[in-house]
Amino acid sequence: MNPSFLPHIMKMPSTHAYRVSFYCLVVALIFVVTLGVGLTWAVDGEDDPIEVINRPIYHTNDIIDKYVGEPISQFYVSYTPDPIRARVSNFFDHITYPNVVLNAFLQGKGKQGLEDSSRFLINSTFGAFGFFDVATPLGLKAHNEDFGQTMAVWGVGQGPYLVLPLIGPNTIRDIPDLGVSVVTNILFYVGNPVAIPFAVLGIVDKRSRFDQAIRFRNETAIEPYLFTREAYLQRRNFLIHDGNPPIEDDDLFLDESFAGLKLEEEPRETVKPEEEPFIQNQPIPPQTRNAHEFSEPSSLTASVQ
Amino acid sequence: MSLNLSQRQIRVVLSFFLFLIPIPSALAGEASDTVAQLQETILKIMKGGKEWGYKGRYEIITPVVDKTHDLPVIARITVGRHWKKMTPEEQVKFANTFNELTHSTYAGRFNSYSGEKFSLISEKSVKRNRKLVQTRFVKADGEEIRFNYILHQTNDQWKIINIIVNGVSDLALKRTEYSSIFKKNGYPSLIEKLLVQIKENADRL
Repeated sequence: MNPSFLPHIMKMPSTHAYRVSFYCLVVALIFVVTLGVGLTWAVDGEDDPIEVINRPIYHTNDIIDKYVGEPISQFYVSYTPDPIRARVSNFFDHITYPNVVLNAFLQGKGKQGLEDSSRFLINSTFGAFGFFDVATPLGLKAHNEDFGQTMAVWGVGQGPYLVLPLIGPNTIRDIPDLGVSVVTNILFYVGNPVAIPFAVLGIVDKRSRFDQAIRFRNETAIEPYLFTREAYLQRRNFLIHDGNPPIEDDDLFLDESFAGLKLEEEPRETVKPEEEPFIQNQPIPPQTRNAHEFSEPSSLTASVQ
Repeated sequence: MSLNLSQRQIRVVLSFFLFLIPIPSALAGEASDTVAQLQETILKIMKGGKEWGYKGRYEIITPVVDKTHDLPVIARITVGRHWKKMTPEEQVKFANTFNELTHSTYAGRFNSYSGEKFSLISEKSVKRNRKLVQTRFVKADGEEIRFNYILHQTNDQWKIINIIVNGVSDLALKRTEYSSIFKKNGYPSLIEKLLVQIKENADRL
């Protein structure tokens, strides 16, 4: 054994371990606060109670992205060959993968957790620090887990929707993951001078992967703020349920009274007079009342809570 | 040289070819047929691509979208309770504009092909007599996008009323956006925004 190796490790607690425990403490604190807010909010949850604060932050983020994020991402995409970018993306997926492993176990998915651990080990070794994804062809597919999803599985309510400066869409329940994802990132355990350029590259990689989604939004949204919010909340619900969110009444949108309606452009004669005032006069049966209240966009994601 | 075949021989030859006609898998139901019909046409216009141009793709996809979607129902759900606040003329104009937007979105968006495929995962019955058809759209590089469809039965066939792409419901997004614009800026502003979108779709090659 290299004798100079031991003292190095002995020295670590004074600086590094202190930093780690400090972060853990902060994460724990945020977690407790979130749990409180989330649980309270689960009761009377309106999705976006602080829209007045969120909107300006959203627009500022949008402007910053337009003048900084997008040009950098475009530069990166046009000057880096596809295979290299794919390696870079693999690498960043890999060094953040311990978060997936941890949260698979925290959600009680033992088998998936073991598979994810194997995936991490195989890609660390045979995949050359994760630059190559050799685990997927072996049947160890990548999963998507994080601490926000874990909290949802544990029953914590979604809490208010938040737009964070520079980071973007979030909910109260997803906030603790910001900390957890830092302490489960391999870069966190590497010395600063090395970690910083990597972290910057990681951000560029992440932004470039959002390119398509952002372009799609710019092309299709007529109310980009609401589009982003709804898409984010639904996407989170999709991930929480591992791609199979339950089909709620709300997802089906209409009850029989809706389906029975005739459009005005159809010939009047075919509509019997007693069917015409259908919606106004017909009493709403109790089981369909929810679907009517669903006209309020705020109850769209009530199923998440 | 001419071939002299008896009627019997012709029948034997024809019945042999019958085996070559693919029989739809037992899994697939009527709702999946509707979805398959739409997806086949989507791939067709993707392959037609720039050569057909926006107009060519629009002409091919429009009758299929009308046949496979329940557009009148979708249109009214997107505006929710505001539907009742429109005059009958406004309702007709909105429904027509919405139809055109849907056609133009398909024609504008599916404008190139590079080896993509659709495949059926499953068809299930869900609440309120509706069907959920789950499919995946696989790109050439193996990336998968989940396309789930919700259908309901109309007089003649199962028709699509919602599309959920990777967990994001198209109808829910539109409903949130349209209701909000209707509430804040009113009916004319909503129509205007839809027309701008149609124009943007049409500008795609």
